[in-house]
Amino acid sequence: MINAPDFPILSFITFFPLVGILVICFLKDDHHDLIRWVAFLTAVISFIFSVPLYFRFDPNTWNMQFVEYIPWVREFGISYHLGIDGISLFLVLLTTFLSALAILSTWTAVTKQVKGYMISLLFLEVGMLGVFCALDFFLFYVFWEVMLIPMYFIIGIWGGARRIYAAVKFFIYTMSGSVLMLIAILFLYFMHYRETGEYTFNILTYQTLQLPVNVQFWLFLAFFLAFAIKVPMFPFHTWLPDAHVEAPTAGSVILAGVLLKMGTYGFLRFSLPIFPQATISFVPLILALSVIGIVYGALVSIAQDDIKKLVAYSSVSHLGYCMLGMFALNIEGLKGSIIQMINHGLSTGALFLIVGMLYERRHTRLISEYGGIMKVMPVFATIFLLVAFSSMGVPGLNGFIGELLILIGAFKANVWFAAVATLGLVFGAVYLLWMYKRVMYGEITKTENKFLKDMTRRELAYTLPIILFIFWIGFYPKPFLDKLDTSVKHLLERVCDQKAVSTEGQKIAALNPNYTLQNRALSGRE
Amino acid sequence: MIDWFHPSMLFIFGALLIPFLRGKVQQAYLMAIPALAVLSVSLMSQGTYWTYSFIGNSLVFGAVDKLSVVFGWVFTIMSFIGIVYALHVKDNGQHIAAFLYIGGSLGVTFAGDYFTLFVFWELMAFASAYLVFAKREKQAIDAGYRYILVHIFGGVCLLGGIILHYVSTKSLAFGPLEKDGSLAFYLILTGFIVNAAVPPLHAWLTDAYPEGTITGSVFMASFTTKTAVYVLVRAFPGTELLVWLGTIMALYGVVYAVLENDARRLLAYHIISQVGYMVAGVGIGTDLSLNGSVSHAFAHILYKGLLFMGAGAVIQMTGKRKLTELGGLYKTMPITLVLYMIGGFAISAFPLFSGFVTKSMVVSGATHDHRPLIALLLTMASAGTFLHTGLKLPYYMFFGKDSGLRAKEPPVNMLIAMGMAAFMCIGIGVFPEPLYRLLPFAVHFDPYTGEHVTSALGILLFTGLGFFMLLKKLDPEPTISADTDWVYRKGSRLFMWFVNKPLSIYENYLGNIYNTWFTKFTLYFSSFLAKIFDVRLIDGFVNGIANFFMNLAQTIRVSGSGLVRNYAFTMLLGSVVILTYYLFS
Amino acid sequence: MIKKIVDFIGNPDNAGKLKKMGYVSLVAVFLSDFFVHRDHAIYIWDKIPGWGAFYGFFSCVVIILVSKFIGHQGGIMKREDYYDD
Repeated sequence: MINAPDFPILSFITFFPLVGILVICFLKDDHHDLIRWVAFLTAVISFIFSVPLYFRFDPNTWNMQFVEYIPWVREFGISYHLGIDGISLFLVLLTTFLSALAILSTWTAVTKQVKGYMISLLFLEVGMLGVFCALDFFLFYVFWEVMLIPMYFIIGIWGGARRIYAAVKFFIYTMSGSVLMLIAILFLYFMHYRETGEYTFNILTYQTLQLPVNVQFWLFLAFFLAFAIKVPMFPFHTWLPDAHVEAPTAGSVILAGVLLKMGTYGFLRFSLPIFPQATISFVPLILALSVIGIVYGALVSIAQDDIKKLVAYSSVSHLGYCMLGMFALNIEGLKGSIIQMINHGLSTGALFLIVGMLYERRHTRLISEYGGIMKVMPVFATIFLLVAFSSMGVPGLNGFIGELLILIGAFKANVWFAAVATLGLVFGAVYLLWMYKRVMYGEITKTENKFLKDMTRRELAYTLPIILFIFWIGFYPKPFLDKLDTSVKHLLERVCDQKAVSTEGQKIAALNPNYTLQNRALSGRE
Repeated sequence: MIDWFHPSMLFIFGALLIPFLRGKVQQAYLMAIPALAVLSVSLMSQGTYWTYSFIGNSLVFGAVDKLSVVFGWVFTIMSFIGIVYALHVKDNGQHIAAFLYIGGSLGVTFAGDYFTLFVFWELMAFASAYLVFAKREKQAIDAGYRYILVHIFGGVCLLGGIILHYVSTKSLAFGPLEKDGSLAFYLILTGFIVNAAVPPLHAWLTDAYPEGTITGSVFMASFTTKTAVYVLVRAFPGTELLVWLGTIMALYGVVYAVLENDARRLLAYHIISQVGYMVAGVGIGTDLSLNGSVSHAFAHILYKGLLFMGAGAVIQMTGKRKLTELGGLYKTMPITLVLYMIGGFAISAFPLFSGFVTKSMVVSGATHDHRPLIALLLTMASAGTFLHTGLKLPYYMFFGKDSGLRAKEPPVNMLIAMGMAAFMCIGIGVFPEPLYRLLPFAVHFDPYTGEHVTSALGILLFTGLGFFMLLKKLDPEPTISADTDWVYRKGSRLFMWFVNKPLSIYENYLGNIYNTWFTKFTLYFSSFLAKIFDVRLIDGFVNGIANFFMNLAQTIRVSGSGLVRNYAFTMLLGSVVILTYYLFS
Repeated sequence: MIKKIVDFIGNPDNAGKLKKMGYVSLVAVFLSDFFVHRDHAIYIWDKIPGWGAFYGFFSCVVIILVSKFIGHQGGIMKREDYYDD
């Protein structure tokens, strides 16, 4: 294990927002600007401290890095155990990055109860970072649940017209999944005790177990429901449109950018390594649901008049690609899936920020209310187009890299599913370009639109960093893909080595998990 | 000393500077870049350059051989001519788009692997779409939108094919494909033929080219389809299917062109016809026919560019694009007329013009490959070509019924550009040797045999006879022609209906499941529990027990009434019970 | 100078002269076909003198008639605002 250097960097990043919360508590309610600045700076500091994670990350080992381990309640095997590997590294960075930008976007969007809003956002950040770093089931579950509360408030208090309905729906959907997960965790816990006489919640331990297949099946199913709701996979996705539409801009950005990734992260961290045989037997079902999600999400997007709902359904479609790549169970698919998670966070986060800008100006999100906006907001039009291209997967931008890898992986796994997924790319272009055309091109039909102001400096400040990454990952993804490599290979070995035992994986048995796009030999581990 | 420089970089990075220059400086710069590009092509020598490693595979940006060089020549020359033609355009966006578009074409031309090819392919699609949108009228925007969607569809097919190909062969190298009829084969073919505008996937061309800007369409006519021909030559030589598709294309374009009223749309259908020759040549696959396809592409870029330039000039100066509204312009635009006619003669393969030395190679290729039917059909299409591009269009535009329009000649730069193209059309026709030397295979073809010349003249002049005899029948009518784009223009309504009605209703239903099942059901169930179960049963149970004890208490209470005989009776009863217990335990 | 030539061609009064020149050239081309060597002829029709002329005329007529037929009877030609609903 790589021992953490003296400075517990992960704890610092995770809990630093609490410091911000504390400071804000002492500020007077109406010092809105001060509150905003404090919150923003807190998030920026968190981000700055997360950057060294990237540079000091060792890409040659799949073990957890920056580990912090403090036994907490020994009798029950609960410990305070944090760490990241190639898979979670970028998710942590994405979280801190988007949180900072999201806070910056709320300057003019939220003007009442600003204090509570900022506290909620910061608290949410703590929860999210904790989920990605936690290596102890108990800790993980605590953070997972902790996240729900600020999100509930964010939607329910600062949201749109049907916010209470959306907030409650969000809460109940996620909670029901989580409860199943809790039951599964406890079952594992007790089973482990029965086998080894030892109580532990250590996730790493569970990843090395050889569980009986039928047990795996049920536990996988339980975890699946929890994560599938979060991703969201068809048909568990119906909470998403309501939540996104009613949430305020920053809430949507975080929801789409990070929260949805927790579902996919959950699969990668838990379902695949702990239940490998079950994973393999569930592959056909999950591939099918993913492909349905891709096409269904895209088709329903086309019909939307509310831009936010359109983007929400596009998330269903995009995350379908991530799941497709992941369950293709080969190295291209997995890498593509993880990169696409990051890309989706960036592109869709940016899309929500953009929609937020329109909403702040005109207080409507209906496409029919717009038209010809390009004439009055040319800078906005350019940025909007770039982000749309990124979301569509235009070569040269980040979306293409992810989609390419996912499709390569998918074609290796199942040609027909992959072919349908490729078709989904066309639909993606349809809904985005059509929406763009209706909003930006043509004549200005509503007089109010004539007086819209173009982007302010602050708005540019929170969109340009995303654009930077959109181009960077698109043209030069190597720095990102390299860090993933070892962790992904290890995960794949863990899952696919079980293939000989599985009854279902005939097609997958043909895959060679040692095939690598890089022609480097696997170097020795541990 | 760099041994090779990719001309496409000149255009792509050169585009970045455009917004910062103005006036004469900008114009000089705009002309300098293509000139430098021509220079770089002339200095090229064969080999593989600029290879990079990316995600574990090697990308080749500079695969230079005779095939790519000859296309490099014509693309750069045409880019220069097109830029000169467009010098007067003030819209920087169009210049940038044109540069990116040209850069994309050159990128595809020199790509040595499929990945590079794909990236530049997509660049071409988006950049050229801008040229359609740049007109900013509703018709143009709608057409541009359809254009980009069709190209995205083609691109996706191509991407799918590339990935499948890569998965099965582990290689991305760009070269002739195994004719194994696999899905990858057909997907890549589909992707290519969308760009080559092979029916039934051709409607985007006839839809969008007439709607683009005057100068933009000149570029578009030259690059997208010819890049597609290039990739077809490299990847699919000898594919039998292409022979038939090409021949059908050649005639298809001619038929629609006869019916067409819009000047540029007529020329667009004509592009389909000429590309049909090239596609058929690729399909035949012999050295002669492939040479024919390539040389025809070379000549076609120049003379089609010239034709579009001429027609564009007329449209620009008169503001009218329909043949029913034009006529009698010979009086005021004689130079345009002559230059246009040079293009017309060239495309018709008149001796001494470029088409003669190139198109005949393809037909010859068919003849020598023992395909008499193909040769005859292609020759028939040639007659048709002259008919509408060399006769019908100029007759109704410049002569014919006088429309009363008195437009002036177009600006000097446009005339110069047309002049350059015309010069090349004649030059190649008179001196075909330099072109023949550039062709990928050795050329053993002599176009200027006696029989060839007389036969060609015979075809052409007697076509002219037919034209004048049937003149009345050919009068343009103010209609539009429904083509395969009908499918997605009308069909898309059906699609939208589906997406809007049934799918949305289903989605709403799914969303309401939460509402109905969870909320209502849970509330119903919990109120059931609350009212009935809880109140009656459990409470009832508890109440029942309570009642029992109360009754018991009432009964027992009687025993403590205060009468002595009652107490005595109770004591006696109690002692009997206790004694019995002790006696029998 | 170009203008003069063009004007000459375009001027409706010169139609008679132009027609005469046209007929002369047609005949000349047709006759010239008889004088050339037919070394490379592969197919039977290539061996017939005047074949090009005949086929050109034939093609032209066929194309015009067939196209107009398909256009009108086959329902391809539509009113101009067909797609605009």
